[in-house]
Amino acid sequence: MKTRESFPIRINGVSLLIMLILMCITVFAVLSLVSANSEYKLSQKAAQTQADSYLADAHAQQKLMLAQQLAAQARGLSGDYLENLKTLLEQNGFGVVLRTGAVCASFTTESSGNFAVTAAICLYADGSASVESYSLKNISAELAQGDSSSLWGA
Amino acid sequence: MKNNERSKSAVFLIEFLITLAVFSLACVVALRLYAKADSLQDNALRTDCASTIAATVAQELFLSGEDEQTLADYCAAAQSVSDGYSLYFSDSCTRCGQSEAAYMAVFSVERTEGSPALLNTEISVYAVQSALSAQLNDEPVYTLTAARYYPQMEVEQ
Repeated sequence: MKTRESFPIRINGVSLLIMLILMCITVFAVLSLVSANSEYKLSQKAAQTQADSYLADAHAQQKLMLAQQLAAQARGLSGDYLENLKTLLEQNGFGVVLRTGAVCASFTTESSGNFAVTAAICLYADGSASVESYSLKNISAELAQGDSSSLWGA
Repeated sequence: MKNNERSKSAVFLIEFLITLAVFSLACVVALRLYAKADSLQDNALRTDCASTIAATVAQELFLSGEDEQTLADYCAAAQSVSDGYSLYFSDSCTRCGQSEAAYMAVFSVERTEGSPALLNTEISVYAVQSALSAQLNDEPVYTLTAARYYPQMEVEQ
């Protein structure tokens, strides 16, 4: 009587060891790829965040310059300097508060990426000016928990 | 008897060949994954360093920008290139000479028309292997646009 032959290729100890080594190599390779990929994404995000914050700051600096230019313009007009300045600032989209001997203008820049700058500048009757507040805000939905910082310490 | 031994050798050979094939295949796949991971990690490091360099140059420029002479001195210390000035940085993101450079930062400095008190700058950081042809062919690793307003300069004028 012919006995039934078993499958000729057997899985022995050596095969198991090789399979284990292969699995280890593959798992480590995948882990290394996943880790490198997340590191890459994080660096891209950090770089983009930095670029966005500098751009928002650049917009704010332009607004500060505009406020000073309007002050110079108001100085050339006839009538009350502070009243003229207030009108000019309001026409250019600034929030304006009139104080004794000064006009304080506040603004928030258009968002660039996830950032916007909120600042206030006081322009005095003697021609001087001071930046009262300057804060860079992260306005992205997930980070909008009052996360703000000053880029220039102004 | 002889036939039986020959058959066993053949089976062993097939088993060995299959093992070898699977092992080679898995090694090739793993090597590709490692290579990809290495390249991603390289890119991440390069981006990190480039953004650090750009921020450093921006801060240094803005500190020098308060005074026309200081800014001119800062620019004079850099090498003049077609669209601005260039500075060289090492692998550790610190300033170095051209020979040891791993990165080149190219920056332009402009005063806004009608208001010299606003200093605009665009800083592009290139990997240095491509430094010589950077502005012609290659994309910068990182670009930063920034501006700084100096109210006291406006008053002086």
